[in-house]
Amino acid sequence: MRRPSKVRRTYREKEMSTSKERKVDQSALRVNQAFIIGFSLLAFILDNVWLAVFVGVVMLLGTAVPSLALFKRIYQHTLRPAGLVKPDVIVDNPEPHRFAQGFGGVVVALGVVALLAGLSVLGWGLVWLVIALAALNLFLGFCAGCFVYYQLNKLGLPGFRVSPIR
Amino acid sequence: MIERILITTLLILIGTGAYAVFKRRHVQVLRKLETAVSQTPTILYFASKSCAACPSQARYLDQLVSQWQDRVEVQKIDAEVEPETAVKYGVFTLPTTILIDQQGDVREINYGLTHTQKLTQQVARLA
Repeated sequence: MRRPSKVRRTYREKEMSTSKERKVDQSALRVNQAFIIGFSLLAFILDNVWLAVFVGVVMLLGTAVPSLALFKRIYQHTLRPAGLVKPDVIVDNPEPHRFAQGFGGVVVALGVVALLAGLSVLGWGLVWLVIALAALNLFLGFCAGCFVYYQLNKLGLPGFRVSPIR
Repeated sequence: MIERILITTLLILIGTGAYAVFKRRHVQVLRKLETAVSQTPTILYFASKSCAACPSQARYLDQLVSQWQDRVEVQKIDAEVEPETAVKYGVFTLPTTILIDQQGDVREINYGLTHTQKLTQQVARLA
């Protein structure tokens, strides 16, 4: 039995009202980036493509279903309650960060494909690209993926509907 | 594996070295700009309304000012309102804080969010 359209409209209105309180925990992002960098470096050093697969899967899964983001869950359920990492919540849009992670996941996936095809230099080069961009974000606070997202938003591309919070 | 550890170490050293060189060159270029002499160190704080980390940076700067009071001056520059000033100082990310000593020379540049502790150490070196 189909839901009446009135219910759907109410759900959409609810979604719009919570968008006014857009917050992002920067500590969760930093922990996520640190894990991505750490595991990616380990994958390269051990020449283990399956570790790279693991990183790619975690990134892509976390993008598609944020509640399944493994590294963020480790932060939420282990690091933060233990007091090892303090939350740093700021007003921000989560979408650009998801896009950045998704883009990174795609690059890692392409790297894995290259590695499995025997193109070692290309494959690890792509993994190192993700390491470099994650390090840029972690240590300098510059999110390249977020920058790209907002540029695409300026161009009015569909799917990039969120503008910078003013 | 040893080769890969060496490659990793080398790439990390190259990356951090390139960043250090870039930052040093940026400071050297800015030293050629004419900046007013002041009795206290000055922090130029580049921000914008759309910068997500800028409110946190403002909070850290407020903490710094409350510690140092009139021994440090903070000048906020909205990069969207004064883009020419941001371009003049080579600002490419927000927030950016630029520390200027009492002689008007640029001494430090911080790209991105910088915590109170680091700013305090930098100001202490200038004071």
